[in-house]
Amino acid sequence: MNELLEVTNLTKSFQLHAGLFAQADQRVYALGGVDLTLRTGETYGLVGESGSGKTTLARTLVQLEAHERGTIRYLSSDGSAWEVRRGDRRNLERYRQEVRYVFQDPSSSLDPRMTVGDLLTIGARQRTRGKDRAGLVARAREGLDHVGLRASDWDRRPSEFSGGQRQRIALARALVTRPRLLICDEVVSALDVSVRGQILELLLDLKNRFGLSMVFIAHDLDVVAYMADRVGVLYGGRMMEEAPSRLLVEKPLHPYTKLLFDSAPGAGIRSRETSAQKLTPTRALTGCPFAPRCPLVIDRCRTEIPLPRAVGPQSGRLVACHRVEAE
Amino acid sequence: MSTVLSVEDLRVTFVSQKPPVQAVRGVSFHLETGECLGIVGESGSGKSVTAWASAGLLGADALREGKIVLEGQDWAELNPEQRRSLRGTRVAMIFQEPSRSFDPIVTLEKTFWETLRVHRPETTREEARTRATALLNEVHIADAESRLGSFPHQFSGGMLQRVMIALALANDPQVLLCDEPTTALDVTIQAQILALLNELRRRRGLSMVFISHDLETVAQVADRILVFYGGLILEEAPTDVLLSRPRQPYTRGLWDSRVKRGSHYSTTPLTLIGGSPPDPQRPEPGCPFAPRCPRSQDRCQTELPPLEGAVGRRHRCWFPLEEP
Ligand SMILES: Nc1ncnc2c1ncn2[C@@H]1O[C@H](COP(=O)(O)OP(=O)(O)O)[C@@H](O)[C@H]1O
Ligand SMILES: Nc1ncnc2c1ncn2[C@@H]1O[C@H](COP(=O)(O)OP(=O)(O)O)[C@@H](O)[C@H]1O
Ligand SMILES: [Mg+2]
Ligand SMILES: [Mg+2]
Repeated sequence: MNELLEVTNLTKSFQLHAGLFAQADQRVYALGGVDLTLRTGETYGLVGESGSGKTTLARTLVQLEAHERGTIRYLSSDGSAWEVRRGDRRNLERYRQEVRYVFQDPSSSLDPRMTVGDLLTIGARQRTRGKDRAGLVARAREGLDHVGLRASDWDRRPSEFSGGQRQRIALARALVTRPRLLICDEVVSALDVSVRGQILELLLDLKNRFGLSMVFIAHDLDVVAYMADRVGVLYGGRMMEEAPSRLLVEKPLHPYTKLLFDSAPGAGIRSRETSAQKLTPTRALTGCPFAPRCPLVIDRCRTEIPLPRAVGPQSGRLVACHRVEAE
Repeated sequence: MSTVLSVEDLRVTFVSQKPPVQAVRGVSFHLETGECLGIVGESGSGKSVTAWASAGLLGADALREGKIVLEGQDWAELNPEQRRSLRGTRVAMIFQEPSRSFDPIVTLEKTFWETLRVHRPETTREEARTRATALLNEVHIADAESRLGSFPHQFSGGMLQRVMIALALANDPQVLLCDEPTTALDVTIQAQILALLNELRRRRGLSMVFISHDLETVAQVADRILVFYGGLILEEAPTDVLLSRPRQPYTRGLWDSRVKRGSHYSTTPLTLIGGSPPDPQRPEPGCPFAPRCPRSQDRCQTELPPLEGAVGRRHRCWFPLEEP
C-alpha cells in the first residue's frame, strides 16, 4: 500500500428521529458507497451542497461514526498498513493521534470554561495518562506560535477571541498530537472574507511546515479548487465527479459540478433552476441521486445507478454519469 | 426618479453595554424609486442595525440619533400606530434566518391570514387563502394551495426563504430591505433566490436594499453599493465603478481577497487583509480601517477623513487610490 488512506465503498445511514411527521423506521442514506484514495502529502478537496454527506464522510474517516459497510485502510507512520476498525483499540488510538478532525464551529468544540492551555493539552493528557507532561506542554505552546497566537493567549478563555482566532485555537489543538493528516470540515465557512484569507494561508503554511496531508471540505467550489490538488464532488452521499483541481475548473463534466460552478456568486445571475430541491436519499437509490434536478436526465438515469468511471486517458478524472461520454 | 428612503447622519448606540457599543457612527444615504442599493461589509460593521433602523424596528435598548424619512414620513414623528401601519404596506424586511418571520406552531395559511389582517382586519379566511396562494405562486412554490396547511419546519431552508419573501410582500410594500437573505443557503439555492428577487423587483417595481458580507453577491443584484466598515460608510459608487475603480483601499482589499475562479495555491498567492476589525466599544479617533490599511499614514490614525465626493460616488480616505 502506497497511499495514505484507501477508502472503499464507505456506507453510512442514520435512523431518522421519530419527529412529529417522521414515518416509522425511515433512514437517511448519508453515504451510499464512497471510494476515495488519499495520497501522502496531498490536499483532497470535498465539495457539495449541505446534506450531501461531507461531514458524515469526515466523521466516519476519523471514526466518530462507525461505518456500516466498506473499508478504510491506513498507511501508518511506521510503514505498516491496517484497516481502521472500531474494535481495534490499539491501532485506533494511534490513528486518532495521526489523523485529526477540525470543524466549522469552534465555539461548540471549545469548552468556554477552560483556558486555551487546558484546551490544548487536556485531550492528549488523558491519552498519555500523565506521562510526558512537560513535553506535551512544550508542544502545545509551540502550537500556539505556529497558528499565529501569542504566548500570553495561553491563559485566556475562548470567549475572549474572535471567530477566526478560535479557529486558530482549534488548529493548534489538532497539532498537539503531531498529526500526519488534517481533516478540515468547513473551517472557513463562517468567517468574514478578510479573516477567511488569513486562515486559508495558515492552513497552507501548516501543510508546508509539517508535510501534512489534508482533506479540505467546503461548500464553496472556488475555495476548494484553490486549496486542493484533487477534488471530489459529492451529492446525495455519492461521488459525482473526481478530478485534479485544475482539470475540474477548466472543464467540469458532471452536470452537478457544472451547476455548482454556474451558481457561484462570481458567475453572474444565470441560475436556470427555478425552485429545484436538494435531495438526501431516504430510500435505497434506484438511479442517480441527481436525476430529479438534472437538465440532461434520461430514463436510464432513474433506473440504473451510474458508477464512477475514468473519463479521458490518464486524466485521473472519474465521472458518475450516464450522459458523459468516456473519451 | 424620486427618493423613497433617506437616512441622514444615523447614529445608533447600545447603551446597555459598558462601554456603550457604537454600532452606527454617522451614516447617510438615500434609496431611489426602483433602485437596488447594496450594502457590503464584514460582520459587526453596522449593516443590520442600519437596516433595522430604516424599518423602524430598533429595540428600546438602542439610542438612535439622526433622521430617517420613508416616503416623506419621518419615523421619529410617527406614533406607534402609524409606524405599524407603515411596516408591511410601505416597507418590509427579510432576514438571513427565515425562522424569525414564523411561529413554528402556526400553519402558513394562518400566518398569511394574520399578516393580511394587520392592515385589513376585515380580511376573511377565504380571501386570505386566495391571496396566500397567489403570493406563493409568485415566488414559485409548486402546489401552493396544498401547502397552505404546512408548518414552517416542513420546508427546506431555500423554500422557507421563498415563503418569507411572499409573506414580506403580502401587503404590497414598495421598499424591501433584504438583510443577508442568502447567506445561510447553498450557492445553488442562493442563485435561485437572487434570481427571484431580481424578478420580483422588476415585476413589482420594488425599491430594494440588499445587504451581504460578500461583495460578489451584492454586485450581482445592486445598482449602487455602500461599503460599510466600523459603523461608517467608507465608499459609495455604482456597482461597476466600485469594482473597477475603487478609491478606498478597503474596497479594493475586499474585492482582491476573494478567491478567484481558476486560481490555485500552487501558482497564485492569496491577497490578504491582515489584522482584525475594530472594536465598536472602543472606536479610534482616526479612520477605522487605518490599523489594517497598506496606505495609512500618521494622519489616518488620528483624524477621521470625511466622506467626500458627489452624490452616488463618495469615498472616505485621506490618501485615496488614484482614478486610473
Ligand atoms: N446523526 C445524524 N442523525 C440523522 N441524520 C443525520 C445525522 N448526521 C447526518 N445526518 C443526515 O445525513 C445527511 C448528510 O449530512 P452531512 O454529512 O452533515 O452533510 P454535509 O456535511 O454535506 O452538509 C443529511 O441528510 C443529514 O441530515
Ligand atoms: N442589541 C444589541 N446590543 C448590543 N450590541 C449590539 C446589538 N445589536 C447589534 N449590536 C452590535 O452592533 C454592532 C453592529 O452590529 P450589526 O449591525 O448587526 O453588524 P452587521 O450586520 O454588519 O454584522 C456589532 O458590534 C454588534 O455586536
Ligand atoms: Mg457538513
Ligand atoms: Mg448583520
